[in-house]
Amino acid sequence: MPIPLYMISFTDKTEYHGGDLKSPLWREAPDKAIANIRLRLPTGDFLFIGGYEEYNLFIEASVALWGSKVSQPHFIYLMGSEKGIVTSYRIAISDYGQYKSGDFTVRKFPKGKEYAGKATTGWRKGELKCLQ
Amino acid sequence: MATNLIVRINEVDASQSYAAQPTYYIPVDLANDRLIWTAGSAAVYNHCGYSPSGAQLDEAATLILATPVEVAYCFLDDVSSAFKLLQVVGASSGNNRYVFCFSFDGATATEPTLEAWDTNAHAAATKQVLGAGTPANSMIHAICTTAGAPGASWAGTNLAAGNKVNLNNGSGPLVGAADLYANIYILIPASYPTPETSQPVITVRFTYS
Repeated sequence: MPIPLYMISFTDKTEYHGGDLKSPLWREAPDKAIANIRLRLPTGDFLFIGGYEEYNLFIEASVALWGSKVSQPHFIYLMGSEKGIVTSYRIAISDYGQYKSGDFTVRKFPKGKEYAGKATTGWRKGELKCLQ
Repeated sequence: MATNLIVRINEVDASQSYAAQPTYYIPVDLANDRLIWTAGSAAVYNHCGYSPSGAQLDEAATLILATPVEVAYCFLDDVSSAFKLLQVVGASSGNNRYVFCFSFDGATATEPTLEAWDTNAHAAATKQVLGAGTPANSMIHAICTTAGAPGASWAGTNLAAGNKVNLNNGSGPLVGAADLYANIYILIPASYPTPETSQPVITVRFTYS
């Protein structure tokens, strides 16, 4: 059985196993509050994030109009949003430009400007939190 | 599910969308076909029946003039077609909307962009046609026509490196399957001092989840 690209643990103690780089199945995940996510890295290690209000995950790819293979995936983006700030974890999937497979970049952006200065879609809810 | 992209060119009538006239469009075989911008010649012409050699393309090169000159033709070298060269109808600075079609079969997490680079590494844009390191001087002009025709004598974006075109007209990520459109032409500046035979990479960047 193939190893899933990521695993979601929900607050109700259930789990969801994601797909692969070609078909991550993020939008197909149950609409339940996420407690944490474990993302499998190209190195075989896992990135574990939790405690965010919202989460997003997507693959960045490109298609050259000629002379390329179809849909070259470049990066996995795993994002967590908390109090209007998005923490973006970007992992290179393969050698690409200056990046080597497994290269890892963590950055923070205002919500709504998390990808090239613009908003992304596909956010899933995290744990509900009480106001202090 | 993964979102997939099919690139198509219009070979019949640039006033008709893919949804209205799907038979007007030819899908690009991204691994084997190529796009050729050329002045054309007795050997390089629409439906010539063969893939032109490098020497034939050199002879059909656009001449640099004392005034800016737009490269006359864009052809798809379609390896699966007996015609081989198929003219991309409307690929010019004219007011042509439905020229290059980018068909997505599902939602995206970000807005797809059209970009141009030296190579598939997407790390630099130093070719002469890409402005020799100055993206604003790129000779490749591109414009999003998803929402409407570009207007006559449009300039669009000088496509190179960070100078890119949002293919959903700046409306953000796709919420489902959609056909996006762009037009592209090449304008050589007046008396440009450095001739070049160039194979830049024009690419569409998108995301899926």
